[in-house]
Amino acid sequence: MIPRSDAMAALGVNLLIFLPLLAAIVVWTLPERREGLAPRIALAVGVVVFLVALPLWLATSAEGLLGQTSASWIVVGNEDVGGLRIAYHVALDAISAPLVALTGLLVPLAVWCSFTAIKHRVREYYAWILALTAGMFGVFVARDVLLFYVFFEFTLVPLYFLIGIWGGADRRYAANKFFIYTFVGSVITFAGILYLAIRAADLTGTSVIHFDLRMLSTLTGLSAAEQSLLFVAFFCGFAIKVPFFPLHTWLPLAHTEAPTAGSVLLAGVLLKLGTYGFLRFSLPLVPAGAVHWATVMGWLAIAGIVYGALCCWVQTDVKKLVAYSSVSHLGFCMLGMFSLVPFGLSGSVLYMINHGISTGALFLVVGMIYERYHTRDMNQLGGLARKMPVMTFFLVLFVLSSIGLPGLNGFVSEFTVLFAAYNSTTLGPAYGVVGASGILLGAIYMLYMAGRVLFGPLKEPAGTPDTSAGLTTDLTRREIAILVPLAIAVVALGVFPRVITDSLDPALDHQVMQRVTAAAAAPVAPFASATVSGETPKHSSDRRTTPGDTRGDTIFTREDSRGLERLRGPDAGVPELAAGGF
Amino acid sequence: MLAAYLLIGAGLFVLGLIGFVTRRNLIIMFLCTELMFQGIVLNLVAFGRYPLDGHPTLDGQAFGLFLLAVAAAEAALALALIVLLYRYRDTLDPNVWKLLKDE
Amino acid sequence: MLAQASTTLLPLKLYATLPFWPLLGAIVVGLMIALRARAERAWWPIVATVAVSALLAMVFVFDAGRITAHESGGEAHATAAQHAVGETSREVAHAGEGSATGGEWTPEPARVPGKTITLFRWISLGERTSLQGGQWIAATFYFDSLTGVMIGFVTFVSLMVVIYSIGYMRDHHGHPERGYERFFAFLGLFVFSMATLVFAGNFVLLYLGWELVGLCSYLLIGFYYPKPSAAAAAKKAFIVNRIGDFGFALGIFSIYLFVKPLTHAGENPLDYAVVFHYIHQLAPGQITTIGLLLLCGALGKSAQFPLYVWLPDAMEGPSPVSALIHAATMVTAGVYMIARCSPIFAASQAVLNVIVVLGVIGAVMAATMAMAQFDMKRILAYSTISQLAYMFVALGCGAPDSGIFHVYTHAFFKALLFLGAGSVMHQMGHVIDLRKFSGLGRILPHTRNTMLVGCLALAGFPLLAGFWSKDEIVHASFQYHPAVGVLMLATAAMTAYYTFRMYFLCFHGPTRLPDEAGEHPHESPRVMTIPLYVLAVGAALAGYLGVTVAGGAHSFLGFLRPHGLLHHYLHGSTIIVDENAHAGGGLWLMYLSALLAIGGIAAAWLRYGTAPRVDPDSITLGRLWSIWNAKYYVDEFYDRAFVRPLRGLGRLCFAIDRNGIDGLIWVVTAVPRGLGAGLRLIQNGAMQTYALGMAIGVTALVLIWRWMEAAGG
Repeated sequence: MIPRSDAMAALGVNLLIFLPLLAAIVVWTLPERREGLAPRIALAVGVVVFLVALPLWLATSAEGLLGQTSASWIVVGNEDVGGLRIAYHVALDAISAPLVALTGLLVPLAVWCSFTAIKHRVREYYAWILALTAGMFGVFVARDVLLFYVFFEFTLVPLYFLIGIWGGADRRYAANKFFIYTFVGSVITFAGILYLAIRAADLTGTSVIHFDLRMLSTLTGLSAAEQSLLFVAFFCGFAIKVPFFPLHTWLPLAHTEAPTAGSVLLAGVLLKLGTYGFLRFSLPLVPAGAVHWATVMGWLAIAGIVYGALCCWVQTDVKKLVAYSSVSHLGFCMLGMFSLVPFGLSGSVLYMINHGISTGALFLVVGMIYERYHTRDMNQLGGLARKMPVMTFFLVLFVLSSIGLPGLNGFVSEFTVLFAAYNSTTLGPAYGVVGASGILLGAIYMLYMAGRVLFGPLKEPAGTPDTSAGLTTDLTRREIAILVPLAIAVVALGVFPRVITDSLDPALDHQVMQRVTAAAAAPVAPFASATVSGETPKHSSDRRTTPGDTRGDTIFTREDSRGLERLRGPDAGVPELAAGGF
Repeated sequence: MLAAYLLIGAGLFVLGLIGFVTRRNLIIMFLCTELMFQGIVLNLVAFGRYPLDGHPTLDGQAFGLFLLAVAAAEAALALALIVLLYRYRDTLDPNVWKLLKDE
Repeated sequence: MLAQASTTLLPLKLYATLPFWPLLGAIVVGLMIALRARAERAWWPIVATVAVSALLAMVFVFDAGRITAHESGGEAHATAAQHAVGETSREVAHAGEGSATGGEWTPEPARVPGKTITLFRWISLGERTSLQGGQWIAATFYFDSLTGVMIGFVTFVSLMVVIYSIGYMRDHHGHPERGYERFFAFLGLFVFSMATLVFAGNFVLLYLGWELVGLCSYLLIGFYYPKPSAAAAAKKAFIVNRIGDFGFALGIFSIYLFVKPLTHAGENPLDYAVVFHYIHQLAPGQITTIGLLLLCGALGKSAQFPLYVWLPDAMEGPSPVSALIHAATMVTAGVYMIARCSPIFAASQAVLNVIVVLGVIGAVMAATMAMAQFDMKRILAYSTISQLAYMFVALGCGAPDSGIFHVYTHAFFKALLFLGAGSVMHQMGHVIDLRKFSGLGRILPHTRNTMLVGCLALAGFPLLAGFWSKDEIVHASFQYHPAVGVLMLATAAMTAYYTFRMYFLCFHGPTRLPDEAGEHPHESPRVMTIPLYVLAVGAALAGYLGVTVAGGAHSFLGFLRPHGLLHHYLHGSTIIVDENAHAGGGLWLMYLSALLAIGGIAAAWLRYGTAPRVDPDSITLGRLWSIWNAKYYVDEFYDRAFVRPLRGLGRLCFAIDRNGIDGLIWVVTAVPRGLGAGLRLIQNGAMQTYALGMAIGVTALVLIWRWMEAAGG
């Protein structure tokens, strides 16, 4: 199963993008009498992408890229007259691979859960889901920043239609708000990307502007002020996507109105585009900006944690409650990231995965309840445990995962993140304390929800449960089969988070942490000469500059290392490079 | 000499413009557009006769002839349309036709 | 490995499997549920696996003593770790980079006796050094004699309770209750969690056990979930515990923050061994911070003032659960943790003082509340709080060994009392209100006999288990401060009084039965009474492990002296005992406390011996009694002071969200919207307006162009 050669891996990576895209076209153009094929094709494609994504993830190592494909896509001008090159450059590495695996896991489940829920415009629906799949994979595997941006924006379109056509009563408003909100932010990000690329071309002395991630994330010479502004530009797009307090108000509405599959993919994967953007772009591309804004980010993160949790507690709509819990949870994720310590970053990525699994699962269960009762109002539902013991088992399990019960996946990331914030010199204990209040508030609102819906005397609206669409009172086999993989993941990642962190940690260290620590240690000199380090081999213990670095100055010297030690702890040693290479 | 022609041309154009925006009869408005046309044709011919580089050509008059032909064709079409519009609403007031406005 | 075999009866790796047997049982029951097997048989996997654990634990108790005796002299290495579980191929791939050759090396300073066993590396701390084998949160077990004591009684009481439950969770006809199999699965999960908590070798694994027992408590309190009060009690228990855990988690973070800079490469600043080794190098303020934060967790889990409010409500759970989780084992986790972290707490007198003060408040408060209740299980619950407070006082007075001694004796008699109360409840058709029945001694003779032993032990009747352990605590508290000692003695008298108030109201007087009891209530089946008798023997005799038979002038009744085998055994653990704490008191104190216990029982006999229908105390004490009966209005106070304001804050946040933030977003979008609305007026659809606009526009463009020409050139 595990791809043996890089060519096979490259095939797999491209398959992740183009197979769903192709399938989307096929499903769309199915004749009407073959409409019944649409869900099956979509599910088959979902299973295939899962079977491709999983071994790809397992095959990624801490170092280097897997399945690299690079081709010019849009080229204007040439070396002599100057110009522009956007490449179709895709590959997997240890940071993106777990997210790709997560996407691969959630897509087939999201498709499968729609089988009974979607009854009109079926072909179109599955076509959009498949298109969305292609976009999501594209974002994670893109190695060209502009390509990333293209996929990033592309994901808006399918979800816009998924919400707008198959959503709840207020779906049009929700879809518009979702689209405009996120689009406005990412346009500013786009401007930032363009500026960065132009400056990079300037600094490296190339006439053709290009957007290669490796080049940009080893770039030095941007002034601190520039980096700070660029960080803000990136923030606009990514923070809205996260969604980061106070830019989150599109989320509860979009979640409440979206069909179940839309919510699952939105919470499970699409929100991660924002955090992934921060991790992949904001931190390594403009490290000085990240360091500069870290405390502000920390503030917003803990504000979001508490605020989101408090909002959860007063909801009566179960789905809205879960949606607000995402605001709180993603606050944890950002808190870990901007603690700017290695285990904070690692915890943050774990948080992305775990939140995707547990919140995705919660949305699935809520969707299953909704299909039977046609309401999500906690005032109308109650005591379902007696009627639906199987559903109760899963809901309680995912609730426990969500509130960070040790032994389940949520705990590992939550603990690491808070641990990092508390022990970080950038943030510090105060952030840890306020953030940790989230574990208390999380228990309050989640158990409040579980208590209202599951326990107490039975309460259900008249004429329900509706079992007309091939459903049973408790979960059907199909629904159990949807939830079981997630339940397994919840337990497995709680006990063996190492399956992710073993390759993730070194990659984060090389690609992100070294850049950030260097920036924190030595404020960027305004006139520092341009340096693009070449291929830096994996972290070597001899602590010397690598040959690739000879072209430029190393702006980092032994004397400057105090700040870095501060970040890293006493036993970290002195880093060797200003520009941590890949 | 050129200035005098241009002045007359401009005068015709402005008269036409004022007529076009103020009158409430489609046919009169159409006639006003013809007036503007003639002002412009006059300009073309004048520039042809008194060019800035001092070497007169027939270019301006040729353009003028073409324009007259186009204007004639256009007049036929426009009058036909006006008749159609009149049949719909029994009036020639342009203000009853506001389909460009989004309601 | 050879050396190990010579020092322990069984290999340590085998002991390390102890917690997992009940988990296996729970999984088997879970599969039975999934396959819809008959509920009737659901008990056997749990009983069998808990029995295996209990057997292992019995052997382990001997070995734990030998380990500590052996290790306290020599060096200690976690040799078993090297071949432990959790070696994935990935790790081997990385192991080449650094010094990690598969196993962890945990340095074991000489002053921390006991063995650490690493099962597998759990959570990465992501440090660069971690890639070379250093910074990991591993699943580690720590074995010393304290572990031995705890695991011994935990598994033993668990086994008794599980056996009892086979009969208890059935109706009068012997048919299993609804959820019978679920109940046993949860019990198995609980025993696993509790054993993990006790075995844990680092603070994070301790936290895991800590939270998992909380989860089991939640699930089991809410066992009768259709009952709103049960669902609410379960939620309350979990959330109040989370308040404590919030502090506990911060304590763990602080430990890392403060201890990390002191450690050397390869030492994990979250392992007990490392923390206890370096704790003396911290600043006093740092130790106090850590101590207070850890204490938070203990206050929640052990239901101490001010976080005790969940325990009385937790009696909504089935009685075996109350006996096992909310009396004998889980609630003692806080005491265990503080005793385990004795090196931390002993280093900060400030924290010890806080523990004593909170302990005294809790002891007196809970005892007074217990005097004015009618729900048998609630009386026992308040009694549990009060007894746990005793243990806290012991911990605070520098006598953690006495605290653990009391934990151990208390487990027997309190489990017995709860199981007895359960037996009463079972036969009375789930009625537990003392006003509704009396004179049950004739109907439930076995229950009555065993309950009597339990009550005597709880009351501190001389020569029974409770007497010895309680007496030690009273001694230590007198040594700490006479006022504390007096309050402890007063509480002891009250304990005797309310215990026998309950006993007489239940078993004495004329026989009255509630309607729910049915026509012919009878004694419980043997599967329930046998565990009662076993525990009764424990309640009577368990104390003798902590007493020495020796004659002389300083001996109680001329032949018994405090301190015995148990104390020597515990000296080989991480517990730090302030020898002064045991020095004071004297024989007169023992006689005095014996006298007070007997006096309390006698007073109860005088007032309640005939099980009067109207509570005489409620008349005598009047207003004071009603305050006690209303539990000092603490629940109401918390509701007004914390719950409602917080929920109000939630409403405020949500209002801000909808109106404030979304309003702000609306204002931002209003700019283009307003601009659009304004420009829309120009587009009136009349072509003459458009023509005019076009003319003006062209004119303007020409003028601008001209003006720019002029300005430019």
